[in-house]
Amino acid sequence: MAGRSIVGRADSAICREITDLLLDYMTGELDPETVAAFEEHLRLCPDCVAFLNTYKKTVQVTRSLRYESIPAELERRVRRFLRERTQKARRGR
Amino acid sequence: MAVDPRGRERRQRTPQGAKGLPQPKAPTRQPDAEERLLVERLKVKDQRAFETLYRRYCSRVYRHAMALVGIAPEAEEVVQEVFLTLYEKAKTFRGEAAFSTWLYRLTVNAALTRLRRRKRNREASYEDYLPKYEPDGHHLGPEGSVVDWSNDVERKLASTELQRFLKQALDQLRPMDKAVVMLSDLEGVPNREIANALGLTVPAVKIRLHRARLFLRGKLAVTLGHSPF
Repeated sequence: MAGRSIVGRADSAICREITDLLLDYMTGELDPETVAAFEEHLRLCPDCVAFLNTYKKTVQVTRSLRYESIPAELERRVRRFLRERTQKARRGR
Repeated sequence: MAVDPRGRERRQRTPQGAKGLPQPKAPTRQPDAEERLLVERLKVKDQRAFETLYRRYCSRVYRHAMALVGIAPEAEEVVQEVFLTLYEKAKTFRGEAAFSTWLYRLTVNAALTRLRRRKRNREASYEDYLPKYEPDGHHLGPEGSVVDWSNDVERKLASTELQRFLKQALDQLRPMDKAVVMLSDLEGVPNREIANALGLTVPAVKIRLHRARLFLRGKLAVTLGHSPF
């Protein structure tokens, strides 16, 4: 997702570039040299550490979100509706 | 949540992500022989096959629909539409993608149609919540201006409050971004499969996912009393 490589310039890599690499860093899609430069920048930049931690936390809490399963009554109602519609369609063929 | 051959959902283990984040539950990847047979029977309008597939997937489709449209009566309409389309268009399913991918596509399409009909005022401006930088590309403000609130979330927000906040924040995402977050972070679907289901490229999926996460991070920061940047 990022443009210019940060390899070999951890001290001059800028926070915007580090932010652009967060997703690939978290999914392990960066090459080892870029990971090393990324982590070297983190060693030097407390703001990027804080940003990474809060980005990770956001993903973690989003993953904890739960939506309810289909209520039994609704499941039966939709099943009846679909049965009627598909039977009607078969009769009309 | 995966589904066993009898149509019951079962929980899977949650392996650790590359950088220590637990991965969300992963849906079934390999369609079993029974599922392939059910789809083949559905193509010739076999009612029993249709009802078996309905029982097997209705809960998952409903959950996705609720995550996307957020309103139970509309989610019900989405479930109806998805399964009617499934019945009517089964012949067009060539099996190149997983059956579950096809279902994601049908569900997202039905949900997006409804979301696009709504007024757009529920969508927030992303810019207000994305990180800001100094002209030289470093984080805005003096060093130490980005607050690490990652350990404060559970302390400051009760579980139900957090769930409510997250649902509201997700509702403010653009519909396609919401679909990407739902499939990636809530369902653990790989980016390639999301791209296939939504008609996007993999880089486009990653850009949407990253931007949506940055927006959600900014919203969460503000809720906790910090700058979104």
